[in-house]
Amino acid sequence: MILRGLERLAGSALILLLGAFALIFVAIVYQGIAALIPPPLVVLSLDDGEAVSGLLLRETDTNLELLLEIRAAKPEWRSINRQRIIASERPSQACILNASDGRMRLQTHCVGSTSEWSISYPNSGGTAALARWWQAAKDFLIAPVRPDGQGGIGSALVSTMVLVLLMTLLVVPFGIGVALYLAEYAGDTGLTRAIRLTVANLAAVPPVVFGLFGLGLLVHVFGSQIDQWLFSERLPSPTFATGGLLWASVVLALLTLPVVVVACEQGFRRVPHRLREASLALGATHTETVLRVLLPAARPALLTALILAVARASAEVAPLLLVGAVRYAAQLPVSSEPPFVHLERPFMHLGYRVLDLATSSAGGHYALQQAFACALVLLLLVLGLNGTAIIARLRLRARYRDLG
Amino acid sequence: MTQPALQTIGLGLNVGKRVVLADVSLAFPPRSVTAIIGPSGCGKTSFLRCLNRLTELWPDARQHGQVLLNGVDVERSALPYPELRRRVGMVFQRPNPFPGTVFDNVAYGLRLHRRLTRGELNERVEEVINTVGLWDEVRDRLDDDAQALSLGQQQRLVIARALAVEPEVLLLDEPASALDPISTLRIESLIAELKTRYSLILVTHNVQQAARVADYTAFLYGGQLLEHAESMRLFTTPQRQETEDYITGRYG
Repeated sequence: MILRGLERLAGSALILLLGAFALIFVAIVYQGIAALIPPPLVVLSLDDGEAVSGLLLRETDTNLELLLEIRAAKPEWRSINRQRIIASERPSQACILNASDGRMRLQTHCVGSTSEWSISYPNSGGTAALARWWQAAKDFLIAPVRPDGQGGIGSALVSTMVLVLLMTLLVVPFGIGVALYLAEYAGDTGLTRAIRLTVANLAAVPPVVFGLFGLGLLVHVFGSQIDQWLFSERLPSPTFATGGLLWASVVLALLTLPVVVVACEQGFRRVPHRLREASLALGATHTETVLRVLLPAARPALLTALILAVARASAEVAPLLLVGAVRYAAQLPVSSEPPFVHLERPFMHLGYRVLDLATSSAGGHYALQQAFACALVLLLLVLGLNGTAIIARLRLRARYRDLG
Repeated sequence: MTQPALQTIGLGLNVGKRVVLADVSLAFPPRSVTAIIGPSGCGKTSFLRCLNRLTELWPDARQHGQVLLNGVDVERSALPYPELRRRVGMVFQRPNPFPGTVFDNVAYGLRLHRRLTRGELNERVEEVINTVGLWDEVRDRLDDDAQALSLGQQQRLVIARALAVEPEVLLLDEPASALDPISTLRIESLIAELKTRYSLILVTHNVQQAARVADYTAFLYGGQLLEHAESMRLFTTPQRQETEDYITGRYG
């Protein structure tokens, strides 16, 4: 009876949990998309015909909260405005306009002078709205990032992709190697049981510990050595002895290693014995059999491992804070000049961007929305990276359907 | 007397503490079919696996005694097992094509052992598929998935795959037991054709099949060789009571 009750309880808890997950997912998608839809455009006209256009953030009876654009400001204000624009994109410092007898007054702390303005709402629909949407999307995605960490997320997006790809390049060959050793060569000895246990236990280590490991061993020990050997002319400024793309991807690779090893080993063990026998009976050596039969037949499982690793790695932020993710990186970790991928550079990261936006005190509601938009992009990135692997796996599965 | 293609002298096999085969001495004349019959669990399949050393895959298996390939002791001449297995091909009970195309299956062994040009490879693949009488059925399906063929076609395909690497001896482990009667018949007539070029050793639990296709028949019982004679003689005048009981269907 008690057991039955517990079962039911666990069942309802599970359903609640799933519901919560679904809600969170929907919230992220909704908020993210909402953040990508720009607020309406307003134009403020000065008495003498000058005009300033801006995005309407919030409107009450007496106040407008605006993001101002610089383009149409008076020439003599341009220098002032250019400074203010940066500030005014933070809602806390946004321009507050007071309505008094139908006229708008721009508060002095925003533009630096008091003048009379009138307000109009041009082009609130049609192609103009589309153009504004396009502009907002461009601002969000590809506008250059600024030293205070604000601006487009393009850099973070590219860096995150490069990081995950690099991690994949590291963890897949190594993970497959370990799994092959365990499944094919090692046999069942005390040593292999110990290795297996260790690998499984790695999965339970909190990610931030991996970060600390990376900082302590990779950055400070290995990094310093590499700097002394190869980059001594640049000392004392560190090259590899500080967080960067390489160490971050190594840390992520170690983090995802258990998942990859376990999934790959399962895959190798599931390849039917009769295929192995068929290959050996044709005079293939063990190695030839592994390379020509086992590896191809285990490909769906290997892709599963890859999918799990990518999903896990894209979601990690905590360890990266210790080994190279920064709020602002002047340069991308990839460039068009050799060596193309700059392994030593610190980088921006989408997950960190979410964290930063969501916790920044200055940002307020606007920053939170941006955080959701970032989270949405992160989700889409994982989906995109995995989608390829999932499609490939489906096609392979169709081919290997009779293997099970 | 001609040199046997394959011969065992005092062959034995232990798996763990269990004795699976004890002191089996058998000679297989070239270009002939020898059937090995016996009740389930008598060691027929184990015996076959001793001949190409697939016993290696069983962790606790220990094999002793001699296996002579063309009069040369496999152990003493330190013949590498992959080379032994190329020269002593094997076909399993259930068809086991590799995942992949019909062509790739047949070409598998060729790609391992020989450097062939694309043209030579195509030629050789066609030749062996022709030998097993499958060419007309698969000539347009060479790039199809091998697993899409019928079971009977698959079994002939894996025979072609084994023949491609030019073995001297072909071991057949109940090759027709998973197949329907018509496919079985085709396999049997194929065996009759193949014996003009190869030495075949056929394990079967089907006494009629042994009588139909085998020149010689050996009766294994409880891991021991009880009787070995020309099929005609063994099936008409068995020397041992156990043999007679088995072939008349009193057990097995």
